[in-house]
Amino acid sequence: MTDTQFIPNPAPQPTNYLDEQFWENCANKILSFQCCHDCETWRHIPRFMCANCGSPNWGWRESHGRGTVYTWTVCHMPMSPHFEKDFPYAVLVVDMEEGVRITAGLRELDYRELKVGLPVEVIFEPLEGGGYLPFFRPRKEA
Amino acid sequence: MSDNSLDFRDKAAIVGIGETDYTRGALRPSSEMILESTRIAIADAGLKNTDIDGIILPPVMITAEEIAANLGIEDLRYSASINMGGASPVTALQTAALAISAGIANNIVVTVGWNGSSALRPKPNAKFPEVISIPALERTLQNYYFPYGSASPVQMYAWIAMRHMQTFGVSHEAMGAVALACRRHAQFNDKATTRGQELDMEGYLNSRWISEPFRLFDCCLETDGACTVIVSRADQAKDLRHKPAYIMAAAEGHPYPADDIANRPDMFHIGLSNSAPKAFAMAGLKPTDMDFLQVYDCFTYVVLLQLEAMGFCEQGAVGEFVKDGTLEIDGKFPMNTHGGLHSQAHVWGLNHVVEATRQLRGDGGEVQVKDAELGLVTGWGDFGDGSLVILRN
Repeated sequence: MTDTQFIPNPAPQPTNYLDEQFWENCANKILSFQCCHDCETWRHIPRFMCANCGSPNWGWRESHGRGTVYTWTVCHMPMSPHFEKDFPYAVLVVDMEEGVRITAGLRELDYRELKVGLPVEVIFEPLEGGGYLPFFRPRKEA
Repeated sequence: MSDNSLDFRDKAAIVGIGETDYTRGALRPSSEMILESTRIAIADAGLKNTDIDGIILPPVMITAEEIAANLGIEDLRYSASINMGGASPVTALQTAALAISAGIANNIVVTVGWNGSSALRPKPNAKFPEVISIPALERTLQNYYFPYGSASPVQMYAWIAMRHMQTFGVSHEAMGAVALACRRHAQFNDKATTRGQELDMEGYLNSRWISEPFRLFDCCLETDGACTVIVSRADQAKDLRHKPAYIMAAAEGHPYPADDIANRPDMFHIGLSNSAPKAFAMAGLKPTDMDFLQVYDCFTYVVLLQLEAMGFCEQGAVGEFVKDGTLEIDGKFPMNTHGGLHSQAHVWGLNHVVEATRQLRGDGGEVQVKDAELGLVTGWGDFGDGSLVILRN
């Protein structure tokens, strides 16, 4: 018996083709978001329609991979057996240059140095069962 | 309110309340506990099982059909499931008042129960493991939060709390003020799990981190138990056993987007930011008219966010608002006089509705709010859905 809220699988579990394509792009080390063909509004998490103009027409566009820290938490008590070896660990919400936000883990920085507005950039780390997961580290260049 | 809205103000009232014992380690399924609290609530109201013609509940643990079959209700006229997590019970009061004011049902059971301690994060010897399905959020969780180890509400609400703290400089002591008020009140509640376990600010600040900015004593309890209230037609309520708690106003609200915390334009615009103005307008009242507050307290900071969203203070000023015992029984706005989810029990906040009803009956015991005539109950659930009910006696 499993409880989906508290015993997660660390690999993403796509339930529709939008999520599948997002993770396929990540598997090629490309961070991409949807962009509306009609009004050019970027969006994340993936959706079938543009909430700005209602259009169902969209495409994937590669992100520059740059953003700033919007908020975070530092987890000291793992809620999943998969993370017991790594805690404490930070989970960020990153404000991307494209205007969307993404949740991701922190790399190459002590979580005690986190600040709102800290410039970060994406890096990719392999998943155990194949594919890549985006993480963020302090930005190396302006 | 728009001119064509159905006016359900004062058309329905809470007439019966029932609770099981609140434990950690129940030896029976949730469905059995739900039926026990329902039996108690129907008897408390002075009704018969067959007087019940409506059932509203979250879509977990038991169905309306199963409850009706156990109670012998041959003509169930109205049933609904509310899918707003911990905001479901307060939203259910809105739904109940609507069904009653529309003449669809007369006596409605609103119930919730679970093995939230022994089965949710299953303990090794759990006899009755259970699954909570959260369909509105599952896709977001499984694709975008879980892979980074953000697996539990404490970690996701922490994003909102951390941003708020960083933006406005709210102190950990402000969070502690919520914890201390709840814990103090729980010492007078005979169902409270933490009765006999007092807490002071030093003890609060020394508790271990769970998910920053949340410490252990920012987090609510995990409870096995069930709770039921009966909502009936106001014109019949006054002839029943207890002084009715009239539903003056109720509203539900959802943040935007409701299914992803990260991409909200304003992370502090929660469900209650939408529902509170509607409910206060319907009641013709303002926050400061309330004699007591029962605020959904899964985590201390969630209370602070809700106090701001309801307009008890300006955004960012909640640290000032809660200091010096504002939320305690001898303060200006006594809150969670039963101990709340934090210190009494986690029964999805329906225990807050039970406590509000008790206060309005004058049955609050040692934590009775003097001359209590008006009180509010909030619900918070899923990723920040928020509902509000305003009750009077």
